[in-house]
Amino acid sequence: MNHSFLNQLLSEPFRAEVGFLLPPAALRRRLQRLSLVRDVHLAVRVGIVRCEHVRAFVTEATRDFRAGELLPNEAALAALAVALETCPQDFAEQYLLDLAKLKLAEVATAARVSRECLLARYSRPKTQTLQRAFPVPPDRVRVERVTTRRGTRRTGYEASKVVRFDAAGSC
Amino acid sequence: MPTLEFFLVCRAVTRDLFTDEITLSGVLEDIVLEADGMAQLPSAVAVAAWNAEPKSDPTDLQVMLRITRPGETKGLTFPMNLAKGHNRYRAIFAISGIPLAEPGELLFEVLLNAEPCASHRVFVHPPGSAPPTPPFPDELPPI
Repeated sequence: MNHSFLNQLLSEPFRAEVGFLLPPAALRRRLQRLSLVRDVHLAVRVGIVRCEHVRAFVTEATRDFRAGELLPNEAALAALAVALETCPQDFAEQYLLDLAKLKLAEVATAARVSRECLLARYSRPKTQTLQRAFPVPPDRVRVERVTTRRGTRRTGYEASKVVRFDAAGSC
Repeated sequence: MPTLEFFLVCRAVTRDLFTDEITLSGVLEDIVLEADGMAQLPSAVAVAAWNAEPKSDPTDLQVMLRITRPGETKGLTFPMNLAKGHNRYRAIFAISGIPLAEPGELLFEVLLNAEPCASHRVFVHPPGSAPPTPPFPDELPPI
């Protein structure tokens, strides 16, 4: 099982777009600017690309691994690390940690890029969001009849005149 | 114990998906009641950020936003947990539909583990009164 976004990371045009493997910090910045990497990031964010897709991608990318030779898809592994850098999912962090732990000369650049991504990930704030409507006591809620543009009268949520709070409690 | 970096209440927040940077727009300062003496604040977004000690043990923290409307002594609280994480914590509270019925001070307070950290005051003006305007150009001090 693989995903088209991830498949494109393994393609020859992408490899040509990345070009030479730069030092890790520079390569990370270079990869951040590529539209395909940003697309993969968004796809992970919204849930199109999931954990099983990443697993399948890694299997595919490391298929040509040979000891003593640089991995041809090393740029793709580094690109995925950059794409997953700010994703909140657990598998994103696991991918970065696993790649960063590798001490193989064949994927040394990808591992170093992953370490750069982890450093940046841990320096970012962890954001928690809470969304609530301000509660109004039921005895003080007044639902007004409002007139729509078509002239029909109905009761419902319309503009800001629907739920009003009366301080005097005269509702 | 984390130290507070900033706390602000504004009308909207946008967050960059790629860089995780936030942009606060429309910082709340003054609200004028409508002619009928009431107003409803459509949305207020309170943003707070804390820096944690790099080597401190990551523990869960409880953050609370307390909103006290004009004329009230006991505010309404909105609790939230900050999960253990990295070096910085950021809490975003989006509260919609705050009803206002009298002029005075609308007070937003943020509490970390039940201890007050910071507050943001919004002045609610009576109907017909204009919020303070900046000075005219000729009154501005020379650069």
